[in-house]
Amino acid sequence: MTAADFIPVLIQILLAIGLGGAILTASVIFGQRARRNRIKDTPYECGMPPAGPGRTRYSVKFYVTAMLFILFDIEVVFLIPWILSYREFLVNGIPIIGPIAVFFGIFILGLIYELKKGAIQWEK
Amino acid sequence: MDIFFILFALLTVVPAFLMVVTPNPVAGAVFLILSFIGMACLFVLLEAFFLAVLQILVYAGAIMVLFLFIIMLLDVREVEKLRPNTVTAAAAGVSLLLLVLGLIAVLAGDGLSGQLLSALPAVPDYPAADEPLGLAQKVKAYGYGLFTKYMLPFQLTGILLLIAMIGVIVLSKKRAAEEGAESAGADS
Amino acid sequence: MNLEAFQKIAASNLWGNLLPEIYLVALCLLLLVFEMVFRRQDLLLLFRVALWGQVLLLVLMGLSYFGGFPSGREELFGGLLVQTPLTETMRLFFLFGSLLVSYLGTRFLRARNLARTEFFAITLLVTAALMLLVQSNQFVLLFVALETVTVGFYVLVAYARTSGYSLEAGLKYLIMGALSSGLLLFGIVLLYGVAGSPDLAGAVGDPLHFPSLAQFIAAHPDNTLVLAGSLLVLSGIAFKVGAVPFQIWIPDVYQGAPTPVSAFLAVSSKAAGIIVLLTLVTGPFAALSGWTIPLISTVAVLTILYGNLTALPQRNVKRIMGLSGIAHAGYLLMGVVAAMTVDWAVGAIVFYLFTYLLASFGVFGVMALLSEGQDADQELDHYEDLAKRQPLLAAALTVGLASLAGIPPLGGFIGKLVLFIAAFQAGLYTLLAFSVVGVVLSIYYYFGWVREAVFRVWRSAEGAGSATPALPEPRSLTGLDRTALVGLSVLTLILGVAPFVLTWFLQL
Repeated sequence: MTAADFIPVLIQILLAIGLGGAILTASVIFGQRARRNRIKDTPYECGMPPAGPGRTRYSVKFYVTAMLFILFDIEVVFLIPWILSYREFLVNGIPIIGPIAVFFGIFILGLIYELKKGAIQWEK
Repeated sequence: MDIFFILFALLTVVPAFLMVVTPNPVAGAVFLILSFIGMACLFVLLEAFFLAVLQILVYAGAIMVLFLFIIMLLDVREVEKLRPNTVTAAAAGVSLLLLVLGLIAVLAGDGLSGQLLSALPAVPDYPAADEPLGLAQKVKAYGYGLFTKYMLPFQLTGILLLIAMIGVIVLSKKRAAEEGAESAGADS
Repeated sequence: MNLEAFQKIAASNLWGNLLPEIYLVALCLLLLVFEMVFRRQDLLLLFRVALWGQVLLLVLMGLSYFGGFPSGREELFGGLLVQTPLTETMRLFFLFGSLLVSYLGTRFLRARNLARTEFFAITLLVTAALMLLVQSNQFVLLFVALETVTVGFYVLVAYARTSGYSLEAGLKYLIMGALSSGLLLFGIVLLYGVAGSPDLAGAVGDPLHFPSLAQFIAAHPDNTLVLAGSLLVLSGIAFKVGAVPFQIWIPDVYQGAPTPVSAFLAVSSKAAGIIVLLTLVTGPFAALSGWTIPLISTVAVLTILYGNLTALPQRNVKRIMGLSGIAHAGYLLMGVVAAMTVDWAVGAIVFYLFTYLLASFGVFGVMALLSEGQDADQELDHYEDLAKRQPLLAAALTVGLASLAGIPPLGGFIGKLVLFIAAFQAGLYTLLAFSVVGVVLSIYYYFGWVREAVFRVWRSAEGAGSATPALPEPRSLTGLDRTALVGLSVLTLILGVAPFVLTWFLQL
């Protein structure tokens, strides 16, 4: 592949940067502005002085969700080469549908197992 | 392509360095994502598109989610107070020295001399029809190899992920009876 | 695109040769379905399905041998997998091990409020992966199988999640296991890079394939990257075996893990490591024997000495089993060195593994039956006068420990004897001398344990025994418990007195 093949990618990146920049600029130009000072920049908390830090610790329960996400993410990665190559496999008579069905069968069974065990449910 | 290589290499290395020196963990995580993106760009330069996609999808996506969750679970202000102790710093210095020495030794040895690297073919050689396939080719060719020759490890990966799923549930979810026992006792 | 090459490879994916593994995975899925369908978790039903399912597999595999035990060497899956009589025997070994782990698991889970199905599910999957691990003939399959085993063990070690010991063990095992996997993978990558480099003479098409790699290494035995790569690979495997200097995780992990898992780690995981090491040093790394023989010999001496010397002052029984397990790994390493020059030593190793399995599960079984509550802090003092309280348990414990120590006429004696003869034939005299010293040392601590359990020890009124409260009396032994313990003891004895078993093994 030559550099010319990547021109659409370049256009995409420039568009993304340009759009983001344009929106920010527009909000500066057209947005309402008032005089700002320290008091006005503090977080609003029912008119009271803010108590405690802005960043708090999260419950470990979130982490379970994150771990399950990573597992499913990795399973899905295998779909990319499969989608691109399975037609040639079918044409050439190499078994492909069955093995993938087994792979994702185990995967879906695991998913159902997790749903049944309430992995997605919020523990009280 | 040299200009792109330098650009992407900088995109990989500079955020990686910033990640190490920044005192703020969240900023460090964001720098790490930037570094991953730079690495994905390098993979694109090598025409290893599948690896580039993996890099974004798995590392910049999923792994970083875990990192950010860890950061949110920890008490960041306590972490920020930590100062590296002298022993650790000395050990890190010695490790760095050893790494550099090892690198020099390997580069100077017969394994990977400079002339050997320059002699590598510029275009990756695609396998002939009767040869087993190497792993890192284009995505489609990757699929050919993965679903024929490496079908067994592929299916085993499914089993591995199933074990991981079961493990997550076993180690994190409270069982019903356990919950009952705990709520009967003191609130945990 | 022409896919003829891939058609050829796909045609060699003969799944029919992997029926035992597929059966185990299917059994695990069945258990998970049961877990989902039945709301109340009936331990008895799960237990029966898991245990009798494996017994059925054992019977089916036995029936399939009426056509003749597999002989010869068969490469499958495009060279990823190789099946020999050795791998077939190891399949039976792992199945037997997982059967015993499942049985111990029920005893363990009955007394605790922990998830139940998942223990059996993970045990079954790990067993299937262990079977694939010893059959693998290519680094990709080897690594994926090894990771499957290791990830399964991460979960199993931390399984008693309400116990601090278990969680600590799980964390230590996770960190050490990840480190060793990293070493192994780095070594594999170095070998892949150097053996596949088109600029070196004799570069091979698939550098991860063991026979191809052996070909390359034979041509370049002095290449720096080959040395670095093979050293890293051997280090990664040494972690799994628990050889010095990679033994550091063993005592804490064995102590903290649930007793059935300790037994699983001690027997099946170690056996798999030894067989993989054997495959590597006699296969791809055969041309490196100039430095692998001295290296592994030194490691074996250190491992034997470390295991036996550290076990001497121990009072915690699980730590004794862990540390003495290091010593057994040392003897097996000696067997591996011997097998590099003497062919029949492979059979001796497998025979030793079988005697180790029977004896270890006997001892771990008694430990599991005695520990209804917290099982990480069993001390020797808890075994005081066991013979009076539970004669059957004391007898099984004595047979198991004596076999581990290598006392005739038990299996452990013959196992050590053939291993030593193999080492003698291979000319490893120094190694042999250290092993004999190790065996003598081991008799001290094994018999210290037997003495606590069987013989009355004189002690003053405020003696050591009165300080630690005795373990609660075990619940009454069921028929299955008796059958298992008696069966293990009898098999240990048979291995010791029936020579035809040994001759069969030595033909491997």
